[in-house]
Amino acid sequence: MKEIFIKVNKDKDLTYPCAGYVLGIDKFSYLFGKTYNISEIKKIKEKLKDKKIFVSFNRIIFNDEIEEYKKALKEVDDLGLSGIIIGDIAALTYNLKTDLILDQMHLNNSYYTINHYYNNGCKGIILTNDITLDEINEIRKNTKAILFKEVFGYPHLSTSNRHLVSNYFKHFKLNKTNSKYYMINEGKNNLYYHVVEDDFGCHILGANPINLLKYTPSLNVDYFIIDGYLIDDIKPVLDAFLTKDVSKSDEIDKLYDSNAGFINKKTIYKVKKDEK
Amino acid sequence: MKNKKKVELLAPAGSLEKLKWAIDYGADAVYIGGVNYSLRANAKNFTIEEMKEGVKYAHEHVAKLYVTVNIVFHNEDVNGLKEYLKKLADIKVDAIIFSDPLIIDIVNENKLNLEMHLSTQASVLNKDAALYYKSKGVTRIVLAREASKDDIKNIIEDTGMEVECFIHGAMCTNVSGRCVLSNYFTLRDANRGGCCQVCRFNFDLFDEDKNKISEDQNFSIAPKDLSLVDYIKDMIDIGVSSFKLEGRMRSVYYVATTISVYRKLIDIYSSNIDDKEYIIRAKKILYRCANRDVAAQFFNKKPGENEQYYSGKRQEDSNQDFLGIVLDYDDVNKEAIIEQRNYFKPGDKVTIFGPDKDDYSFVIKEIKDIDGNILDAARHPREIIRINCLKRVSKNDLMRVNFLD
Repeated sequence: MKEIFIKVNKDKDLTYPCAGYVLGIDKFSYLFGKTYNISEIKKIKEKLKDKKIFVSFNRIIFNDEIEEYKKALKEVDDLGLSGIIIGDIAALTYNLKTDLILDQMHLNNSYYTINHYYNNGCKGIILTNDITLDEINEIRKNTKAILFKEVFGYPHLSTSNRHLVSNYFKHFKLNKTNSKYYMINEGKNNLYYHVVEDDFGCHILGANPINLLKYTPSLNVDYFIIDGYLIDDIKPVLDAFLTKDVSKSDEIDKLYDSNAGFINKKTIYKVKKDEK
Repeated sequence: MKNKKKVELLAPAGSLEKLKWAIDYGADAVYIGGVNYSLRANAKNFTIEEMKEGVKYAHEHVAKLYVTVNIVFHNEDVNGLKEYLKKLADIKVDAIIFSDPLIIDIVNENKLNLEMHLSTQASVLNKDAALYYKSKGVTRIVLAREASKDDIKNIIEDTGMEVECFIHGAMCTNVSGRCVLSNYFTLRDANRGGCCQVCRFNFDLFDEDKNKISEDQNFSIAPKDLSLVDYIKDMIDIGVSSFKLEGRMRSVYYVATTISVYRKLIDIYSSNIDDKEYIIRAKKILYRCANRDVAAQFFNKKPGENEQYYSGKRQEDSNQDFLGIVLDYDDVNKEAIIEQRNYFKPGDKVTIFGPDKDDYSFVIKEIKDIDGNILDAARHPREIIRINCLKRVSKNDLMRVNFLD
């Protein structure tokens, strides 16, 4: 039974009827519309007793933050949540009681790698958006790790520790706007990639959300994650996924200009001469 | 014989030829990629036979050879990996540089005699992540390039691990390994060696309502190249084990020039010599060699606007300075025999440099072809010519434009 989780980007997301929620935590999460402190997380857990709650520490951690990071992890560990999502493997060295789920964006693409972490303290993995359906199902056959897959949302393409947008405004002495996010376009096509700046630096997200609704029957993972980050209203998506109505896939694509990402196409890396 | 120091100077080598140049010019170690599993999938890269020859050459010259096996593996890529790693152990490479931890399991389960160095692609920025790898048998970490001087110092002190740092060359704008822009823009897999460097593209920037921010100014995310030439002493002092240069795709001239300059700088600082004049010259030489703006990036502060490119005119290697390679020296006629690389003529000021020697600068008075006929200029690439040269120079010294005096 594949359960649906919502990545919480606003308080309202906690009212949607799904199996569980992924919460961001102040300071140690990025790309969440909203993050919570430990006491707020505790209250959410107490209020939503029948829901699975995961807290995401999906950031990379600098050396001078490591004690504070460790302390925050230990405090969350004591809350008795369903799991802690980690982006930095430092967390594997802390003997935490809670199940750890690894989320390293693009770094874990094979069942061999996933099994390495499973054998070293990671109960589960959030799969990358860069692999195909066949690869995911092959991973399923060859690992005991709990598998999470984002099935809707803007894919996270890159993270920089530089404030690229602020630097640009400063360099050209332009007036910074109140825009929550920015978009970049190469001038060769109609693709506008999303750029988000935060305390950590700058992140680039896909031009279109990924929508894997029509692939859900054949996606052999344990949990689906729906992420409404940068999206105003996620309810139509959630309704379609919760009712498992794959016939609504095209409708969703039309509504959100979404696509299937790499689920049905492979990347290339040995570039032929005429492709350079 | 070069002056061996505890600090390692680590050079890129995109081919066997470049490997030899790098070692001859002072590298203590070189890193290369195999035909498979390396993040420069479109470079020439080394076959096992070439690696074997590389190991032999390196060890004969008291140098080490490391092999990058640093892609992020997909299921299908793992076929043949164990056999490949066994071959690397058999030919006695000194270490592998990897990012995907599945390598750790293969090496340990098969008890392969391979030293493991963790690539910057694994984006390690703290002591506890480093200690995780140490507990698995990894001996050296190439920290994420976002690490500051304090980060580097504290990680070395708290882990006791060897730390390797990039000191020179191009750099990613994003945290290494945490970027798949190339996948989405061009379908080329960044973490399997296909990166098309989207961070060098120019863009238009728009707000959330798709209003263009500026009609005149492109949005750029390109960083300036890294140069820690001003911080070599600090890095030695805080205990960095290996000083690494980027650039497996770069030319022989680039490799020889950068390695010879950093060799001298490391030797100067390691000997506590305060040679301010050479340091000034070194900076000029390094800048000319790549012809790119450089910055210390994350070493001394968080980079801002001054550490990025905005001109949209980022220049690639300019080797017009590279005039020729010394093939031999005629003691009787006091002439250097040169294989030409770029145009030069009588009256030009040139410099010949080579391993373990001071640069020699002079004015070209006469150019002859190999039969002794006088030429008005050296015009043809790879043409063999003779030039006046009072000081004895050696095979494989390089001649460049004298841009310093």
